[in-house]
Amino acid sequence: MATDPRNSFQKHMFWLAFQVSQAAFLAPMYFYAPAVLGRAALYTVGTVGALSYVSATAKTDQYLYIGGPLLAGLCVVVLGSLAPMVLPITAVRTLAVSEMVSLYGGLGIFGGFVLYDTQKVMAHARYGKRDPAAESIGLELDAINIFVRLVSILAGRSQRK
Amino acid sequence: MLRTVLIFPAAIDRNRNFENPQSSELPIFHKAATSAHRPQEILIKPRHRFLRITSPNMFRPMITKVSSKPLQGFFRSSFRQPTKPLASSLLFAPVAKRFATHHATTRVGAPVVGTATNWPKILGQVGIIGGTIVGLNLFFNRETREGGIPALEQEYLHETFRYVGAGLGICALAARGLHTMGWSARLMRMNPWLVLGGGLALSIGMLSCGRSRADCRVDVGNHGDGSEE
Repeated sequence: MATDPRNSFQKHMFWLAFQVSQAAFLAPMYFYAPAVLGRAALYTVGTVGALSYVSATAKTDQYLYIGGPLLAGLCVVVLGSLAPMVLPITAVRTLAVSEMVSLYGGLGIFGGFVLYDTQKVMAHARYGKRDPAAESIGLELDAINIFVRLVSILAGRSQRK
Repeated sequence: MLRTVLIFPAAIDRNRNFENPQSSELPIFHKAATSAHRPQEILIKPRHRFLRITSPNMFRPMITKVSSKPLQGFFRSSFRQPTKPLASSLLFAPVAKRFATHHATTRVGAPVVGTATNWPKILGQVGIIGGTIVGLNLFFNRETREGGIPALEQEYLHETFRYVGAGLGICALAARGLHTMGWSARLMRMNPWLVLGGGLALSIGMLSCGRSRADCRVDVGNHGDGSEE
């Protein structure tokens, strides 16, 4: 299951289908907190832009070593995000902790992934790989995840006021 | 690839009030306080189950006038999903009542604390200032590469970020379109496990189909075989 970069049409069709599949499962955000979406998008652009700038101007391969720790942290965040699916709603304290892990831990982890992915793209450029459509998906998932977390943090804050 | 798991909690929300899609919370009502002239009800807005469950503020009461319309909506939706909202409202009712009365008394009778030193706020501001100084120092004094980014890497990075921007734009427009078509309401009525599984299968399928094969590279090194997740 892979597409040769020379097969440009098929590559872009899969890329487009990926965007639409993400959109299909992000659409409920418009129900969830329509008021903060614009602000969260702005913050996401700022965060991702700043981090990737730092990563791009850092020394060669400086952030590539954090890939392993990030994957470990990502597993914890995934478990924290899936906890509400399996835990009963009576486990309030555990759910609160898992929500914190999922929100703030996830924000840190995906910030780290932006650093890592930017340097990974540059490393791929040095190895002669030319496939920006496929490279973009990692960075895009980082941005989407940061966005989702910022929306729920902002929505929680605006409700607490 | 594992990163695709994390975007679904918004979609797999079971406790959404489907009858009244304009309101983003599911209201849980119970009669707690009645004034002399006009009955009041306390509307407890539980925070979102999948995205925001925080125990201390979970039962934050808001005293509001309640029309009968959302009440109908609530009972209809609890009829559709018989166990969860009913059980949770029964379970949380005593706690919520306690919080509600506490809230009411403090709101009416408590004197203003006034000029006591607000240490948490001061500490927070000191933390913000200190964090800004440390952050700026780290940013401006960090080690950067000699002689700028090589042209090849820069061009590839720019091209990748063009794809990222275009992809996010398409994603936002498609989400907007699907929402106005009523897709998100249908999605939230589905079984959350179905949504999670189907969404994961679709995303990972498209992602791995669009990826390039490992032998598309010119140079085969130890890094970057595209399968680190």
